[in-house]
Amino acid sequence: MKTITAIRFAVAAALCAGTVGAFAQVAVVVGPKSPVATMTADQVSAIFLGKSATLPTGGTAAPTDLPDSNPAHDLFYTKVTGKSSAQVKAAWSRLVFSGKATPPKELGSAADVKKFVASNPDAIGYIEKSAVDSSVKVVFSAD
Amino acid sequence: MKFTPLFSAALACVCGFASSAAHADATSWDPSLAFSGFGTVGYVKTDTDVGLYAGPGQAGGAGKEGTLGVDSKIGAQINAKANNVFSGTVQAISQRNGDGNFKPAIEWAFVKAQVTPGLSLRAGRIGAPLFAVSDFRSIGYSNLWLRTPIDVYGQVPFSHFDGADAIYQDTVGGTTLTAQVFGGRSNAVASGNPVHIKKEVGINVTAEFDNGLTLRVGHVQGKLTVDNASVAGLLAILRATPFASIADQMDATDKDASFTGVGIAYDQGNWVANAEYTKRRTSSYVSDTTGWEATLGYRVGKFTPYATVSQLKRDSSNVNNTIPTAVPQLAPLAAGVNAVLFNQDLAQKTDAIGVRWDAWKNIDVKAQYDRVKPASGAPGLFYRATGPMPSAVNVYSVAVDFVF
Repeated sequence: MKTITAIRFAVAAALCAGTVGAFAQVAVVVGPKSPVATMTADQVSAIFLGKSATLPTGGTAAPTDLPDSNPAHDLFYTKVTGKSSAQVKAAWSRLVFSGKATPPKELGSAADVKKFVASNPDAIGYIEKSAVDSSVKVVFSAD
Repeated sequence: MKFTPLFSAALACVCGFASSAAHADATSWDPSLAFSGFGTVGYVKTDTDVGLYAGPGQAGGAGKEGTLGVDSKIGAQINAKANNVFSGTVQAISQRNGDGNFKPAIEWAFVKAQVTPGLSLRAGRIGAPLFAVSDFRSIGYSNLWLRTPIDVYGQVPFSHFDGADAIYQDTVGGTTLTAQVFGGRSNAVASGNPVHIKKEVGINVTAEFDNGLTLRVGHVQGKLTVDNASVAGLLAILRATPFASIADQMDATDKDASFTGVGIAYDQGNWVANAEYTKRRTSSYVSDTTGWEATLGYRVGKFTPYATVSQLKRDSSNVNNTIPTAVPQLAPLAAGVNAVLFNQDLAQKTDAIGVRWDAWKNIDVKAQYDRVKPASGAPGLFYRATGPMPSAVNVYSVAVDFVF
């Protein structure tokens, strides 16, 4: 019995860890037809902070965002760009009200991001890693 | 079916081409229209009624009786994109202006051609890049301060010019360089007096490093004209005396004027800092000044406390008043010249502390305390000083900024 309890506990712990891990990871995704294979955190940040509109392969990036309420939103900006949601908003307000750039297109959910990204070779988005499937290609992931 | 692989490849190729063409239609080539807006509701009061605390060029301000008029504003912007090359932007703002009212004004209205990925040309009414924070100086939400430090930003009443510019941007090893040249003319009303710059030309260069450091240098020059009936009256009298040369020194009609500035900004992790040093030069009774500011802030969660020190110095009145005051008949004339020059003594120092609270996803709340010290008796930037200003004025401000 003791062994079984221990195994049960270990399995529960592993499941817990797995769940936490899944929530704490975010993947930057492009469409399967995108020529982009991998990207660095700096390259991803530059696009999502409006410092660059160009993908590493030279195409004009079409970035997509998730709503503030989506857990992946804060996770992505904190871990990949090193900036808080408020800092990112302030940075974009500077670009928008200078007429210099337009912010990433906000889509409702990870499913919408995958759908958009899958259909557009220049699109780039981020989703929770647990939502990654074969319709998209991961070019960067952050733990 | 020997040809199947080839046929498949061709089909895939055509499909790929078609889908990439379709994508291009769906995203970058589609005409689009984007509407955005910003605003501030701000209240400010001081502890003196001798002169009123005002924003750059504003006719009206805050005294012991607080007002919503200094910082409150509402703005709207429309960006229209015709295709990958041509776009247009119109921005309108309603805030207290140089005539003292809140009549909405067209701040920008320009068309832009993105000639190459690095080069863009614009024509129309364009934001004048005179300062480190020029394009978004009116957007409180974009800035740490409750308002741009007036010891620097109060030197020039213009925020836009009518003309054209060229902007070249390139990224070299993580550093983004932006160079802008522009030309045109500016019109503004400063504290009730129309001010014009003709033959305006300028340059603005920014280097943004990937470690959060930004450097900026800019220069603009042109021909300054100020429409001021009382000054004009005084000059007419002077010209009828042996002191006509003083009138020539004072006259602000088509006179050389320039504004030069350097700035540095740092934003990395929790630290945010910036400093700016600027010089105004004219060949008229509009005084030569130096304005600088330095700001340091530290983010603690959703709160960012900050401190700013700034100073506006009068470098020269540009006029040598040689009218002998000992001659009784000339004394009123000498006094008249001195009064004009005195009103141009903008010298003051400011120490400010404040806090920005990112309260909601697109709304911030700010509070700021300024201790403004006008130079001995000078009006500084206070509006309509009715006597010598106190040696220190306490200014209390709160504001809510939003963008949508």
